[in-house]
Parts: sequence; C-alpha cells; structure tokens
Amino acid sequence: MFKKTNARIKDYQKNDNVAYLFVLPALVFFLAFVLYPAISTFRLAFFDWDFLSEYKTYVGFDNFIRLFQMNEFYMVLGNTALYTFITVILKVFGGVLLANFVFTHVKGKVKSFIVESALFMPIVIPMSVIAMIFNSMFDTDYGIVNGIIKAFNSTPVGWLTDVDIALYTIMFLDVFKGIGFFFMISLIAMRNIPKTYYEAADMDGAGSIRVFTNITFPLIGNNLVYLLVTAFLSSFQVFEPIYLLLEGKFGDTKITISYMLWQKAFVYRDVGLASTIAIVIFIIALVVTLIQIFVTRKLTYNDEK
Amino acid sequence: MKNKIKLLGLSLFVVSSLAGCNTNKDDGDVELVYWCFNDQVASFERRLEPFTEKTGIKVRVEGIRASTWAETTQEISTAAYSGTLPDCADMASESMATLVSSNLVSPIDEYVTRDAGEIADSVAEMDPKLYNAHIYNGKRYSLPTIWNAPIMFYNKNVLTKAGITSSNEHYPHSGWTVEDFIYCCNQITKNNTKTGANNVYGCKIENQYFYSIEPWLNSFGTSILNDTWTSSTINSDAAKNCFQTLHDFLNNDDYSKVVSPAMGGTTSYELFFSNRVGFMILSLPYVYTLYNGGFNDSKDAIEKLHQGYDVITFPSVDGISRTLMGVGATAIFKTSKHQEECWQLAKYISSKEFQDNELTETIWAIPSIKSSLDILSQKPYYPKNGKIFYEALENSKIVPAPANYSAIELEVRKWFSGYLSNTSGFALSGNKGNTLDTLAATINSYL
Repeated sequence: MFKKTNARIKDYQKNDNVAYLFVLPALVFFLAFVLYPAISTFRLAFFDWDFLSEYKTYVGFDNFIRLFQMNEFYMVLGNTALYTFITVILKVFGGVLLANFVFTHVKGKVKSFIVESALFMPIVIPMSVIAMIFNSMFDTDYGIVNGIIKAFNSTPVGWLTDVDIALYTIMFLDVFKGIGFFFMISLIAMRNIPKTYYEAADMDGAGSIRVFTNITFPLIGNNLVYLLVTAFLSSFQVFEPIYLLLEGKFGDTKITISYMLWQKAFVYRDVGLASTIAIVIFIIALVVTLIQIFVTRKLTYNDEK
Repeated sequence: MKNKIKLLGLSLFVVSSLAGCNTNKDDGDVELVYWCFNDQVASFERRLEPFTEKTGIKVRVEGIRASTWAETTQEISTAAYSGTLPDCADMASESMATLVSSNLVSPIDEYVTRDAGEIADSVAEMDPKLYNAHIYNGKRYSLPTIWNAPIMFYNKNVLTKAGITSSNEHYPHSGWTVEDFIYCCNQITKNNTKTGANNVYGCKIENQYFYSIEPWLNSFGTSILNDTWTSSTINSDAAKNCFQTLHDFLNNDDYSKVVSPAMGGTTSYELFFSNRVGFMILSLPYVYTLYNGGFNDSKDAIEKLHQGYDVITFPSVDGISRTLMGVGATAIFKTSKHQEECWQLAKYISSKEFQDNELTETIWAIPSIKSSLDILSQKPYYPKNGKIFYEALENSKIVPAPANYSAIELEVRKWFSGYLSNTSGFALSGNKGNTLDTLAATINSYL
C-alpha cells in the first residue's frame, strides 16, 4: 500500500514538472506584458521623458504634484466617477432585473434561446462597430433617432453634439453593449438556485417582488460581487467609446481618465505624467474594488458563514 | 533535474526562434522597409515597382494604422521606443519638425550637394516654398514629393437652387470675401425648417487644424503661430474676429441660417456629394474622389460633374486669398543601415520621372513638379478653375507645425470645439476660464 502511495507521489512530482512546462508560456507572457510594463510604469512616473529622447530626467514626485495641481485632472475624475456610477448601476442591476424577468417569465427552450441571444448579442459586436452604428443613429441631422423625433414635429436633440447630453449618450451605448454579460451571469446564477426555495415561497403565497428580494437576490450575492467588480473596472477604465465618439469635442470637457492618460502619453508625449495617471487609476481601482467586495459580502448571503 | 534541463532547452529554443524574426536580410539584396498610411500600401507597392526594376533595391511597403499626421507621429514614437523603425517613411510637414527635434531623421544636405546635377531638372520645377519646406536649423531633411492646400469646393447645384447664379456679385469668384461667403450660406439655408427635414447647409465648420482652423485664420490675415513659430498669435484681434464670425455662423443666427450641421457626424464630402451643403473645404485628391463617385463612365457624366461643382480659393476679409500648405516628403530614419539606398528612393519619388508616370493617373496629392501637375490638369475631370491649386502657393505658407505639433494641434482643437459648442468656460477673452489668452499661453509653453 505504501509502495503504491510513494509511486503516486512520484507521479505527482513528474506531473508537477510537466505542469511547469504548461505554465511557462503564460508565465512568460505575464512577465513580459504585465509585470514588466507595470514596474516600468511605476518607475517612469518619477521621470520626465517624451517617449523619443534618449535620456530620461529624474524628477522625484514632480509628476504627482503637477497632476494634483491640474484642474483638468479633477474635471476628468468627476466625469469618470459620474460615468462609472451610472453605468455600473444600470449594467449590473439592469442585468439582474432582466435576468429575473427572463427567469420568471420566459418559458420554453426556443423562446429562452431567442431572448438570451438577443440580449447577449451586443457583447460579441466590437465596440468600434457599435460606435459607428450609434454615430449614424444619433446623428443630429440625419440620424434615425432624431428622424423619429422630427416626425412628431419636435426639435432634434444633439445626442452627440450637445455638451450636456453627449456623455449620457455614450453611457447608453456602454450599457447597451455591456448589459448582456451581466444579464447572462445573473441568469446562470438564478438557474443554479435550488427550486425548493421557490416551491416553499409559492406555498407561503409570496409575491414576485418578495421572491426576488428575499430569495433570488440574496442567493446570487456572490455573483453580485463579481459583477460589481467587473462592471466597475470596465467602466472606470472606459476608453474606446470616448475616443471614437467624443474625441476632440467640447474642448475635452467630457473625457474620462483613461482617455486623459492616452492623450498625455501619446499626443503630449508626457510619459511621466501619463504613468502617474496610471498609478492613480490603479490605486483608485484597487481601493474601490476592495470596498465593493467588503460591502457586498456584508450585505448578501454567504455560504461560508 | 533532467526535466529542468529540457525545460531550459525548450525556453532557449523559443527565444532563439523569436530572435529569428529579425527583418534584416543578409542575402546581399537590400530591402528597404517603407512606411505609409495603411490605405496607401497597395498604391505605393505599385508605384515603387519601377524603382526596384531600375535600381535592384527592393522596397517592402508597410502600412501605419493612422489617419492623421499626429497619429502617425504617435506610431513613429512607439516604433522608435521599441526599436522597430522602418528605413524610411512617407512623411508630412506636420510630423517632420517632431522627428527632427527628436534626432530621428537624417539630413540630406550631403546627398543633395553630391547629386546636384542629377536632381537639377526636378528641383528647377519645384517652387522654392516647397523645396525649402523642411529645412530646420539650417539643415535640409527632405525633398518634396507632393503637397496639399485646402481650398473651397462649391456645389453649383445647391447654389443654383438657392438662386445664386454666376451673374450674382456674391457668386464665388477670384478675390471673393467672407461677406460673399456668408451671403451665399444664408441664401442656401433660408428655407430650412426647424425640424431639419431636407435641410441644406452652407458649409460644415470642421474641428480640424489643417482643413479648417488655420485656413480660416489665414483668411482673416492671421495664424495660430507667428512666422518664425516662436510665439502664438491665436489671441490677436484678427483671430478673435475670425472665431467670433465662425461662432456666429453656428450659433447666433436663426436655425434656418445655420451654416453648419453639427460638429461631427456626416462628413463634408458626403454632404457635398448628396447636394446637402454648398461648400466644402478640402484639397485636390477630392477631385478624383468626386470623379469616381459615379462620373467616370462617359463624357456626358464628366460634363455633368463640371456642371455640378468647381473650386475656388478661400474667401478673405480683404480680398486677398490666402491658404496654407502641407508638404509631403520621404523621411530617412537615422537608424537605417541603408542610408544611401533610402536617399536613392527619396530622390526617385521626388523626380520628374516618378511624378510624370505615377502621380498623373490617379490623384494622390499635388505633385511637387510643376509640369507633372500640368499633365494632371489636362485630365477631362480636372475642375475648370483647377489652376487655383498651384496659384494658391503664392499667398500660402507652410502649416505651422513645430516640434510639439501634436500637443499644440490638440490644444487648439480643444479650445475651438469648446468655444463653438458653447461649452461652459470657453470664451474669446475674459479674466478666467479657457480664453484665447490662456490658449496662447499654453501654446507658448510648447514652443
């Protein structure tokens, strides 16, 4: 018996070596494209460099001081916070509500397949394609949305050209594209809840709202942590729709922090400042994510309690 | 232990395989890597075949994923950082000063002196403004290949529909003024409705440095920078007058008189082609684009094309037509091991032989050799008033593009879009906010 166990241990050790081999490509990729750039970014935040010069000048914390003294930084941070708050709420809770609707009202494999596919479809369409579609649909003069508004003899809306509206149009685009993911994860989580809970609630005569608030929502709590963190990270770092649809408009008063980072790095070639912004993004994202995990776990049901 | 050695061996194999991806060829043949815009790769491959046949120097054309010169500079910056610069590239005035100041491109003075006799005929046909376009700190960095100048295309169908015929004193003519332009725009838009159905517009005011902001400033007798690019003049009285006028075009008149549709969205060309706009500000390549837009199949179609549009210089406040020019060139990177071969290529692209054969069938831009443009101007689709493309050189100056062009361009476009869209805090003047004085100070900080 012991001989058999020793042989198994040796097998495991052999397998360990093979496992290292399998891990190697991912490790090389991680070291080259994640860890090294991350460390470089931290280092570059302490230098003045324009991307092209041979020499970098060490400037200590000057880039941090410069960033925190820029009015533009606080404006952009405000835009990003507003964008993140609204889109995270709409994507996550909209996704959960849609999932609950499909879970409770859409019966039958074919119907479910059609509804789920329709809601998930925007996820697989590239952002650039959706941005082009939105650009045409929401064009002030020739877009179909204003076409409908004009048909009712109303004044057209500057969906992408009015400074007070444009960012909300981009948020709508982001929610439209992203909600399918949150819907699908929520739906899968709901389908994994044991039916006995619902049967018991049914016997007790609980209404649909009560069932959702007391059974469904608490029991998908662990997924909610994942959804909130994912939604926050994607919204907080939003770049593509801002670049594709708002680039150069409104004096850049509606840009987000990732866009500002890109501008500072590649247009202004102020690599030190851009790296500083990257560090700020990292710190904010880390802190908010930890808070989210902590709060959501407190508020929802947890198996491990 | 054996496994670890195997693992190490495998890693070394992977690394050495990757090292084999080096683009330099060691088989004796020289192959230059030449960068141009992505959508011009096929054209350049075809255009440069005769060069390879003639010299034996192969050219591998690679596309840059960029649509503006500022984006091109970004791509070059990334390539310079990662050590993957090509041997040479199709470049323009907007990028040259940046590359020169970063010590990335080679001066060509020695070659020009050495081959003076060989290039004399071509150089004799180049306007000095073009020939000397890329001299920085007394060193020449390129020969001109092509150039562009923004001019106005006017849609005769739209003007006729608005009741403006050639007998009208405001009809686009040599020496026409901004007042004439505004009159035409108001006539074009006077029947527009508030809901916008079937509205026709005067001219789209784009948020672009080369095709909008700087030429408009030139029309008002000023510029973003002074002549030596050492200080910004964007806060001059003439500039304020210019921006106020453009702002009024867009904002202060009744909706029916709005000159431009929204900033962004449908392009000027699309609006022009569908008879929805009276004027568009573009350059010579769009002559060919219009011709290919359904007017290239018969003589009648070309006649219809001429009946539909023509070109005219920019209107101005004082009747003197001014514009600006951007000059194209072949930049030779210092990192290239084939400087001599790059010079051969640069010389070829700027030669009469190349321009007569390769730039007169399809329009890339305005050839730098005058007689090549003359060949082009004989084409049946060339606009009736096409002579203005070359005449524009007389009162034009090179696009103001110093070393920090990308940052300056962005700052100018930021302010322009903020001001024209009535974004809070953007104004011509005042004590706080984004005024022209603060913009000028910001630009000066980049000079």
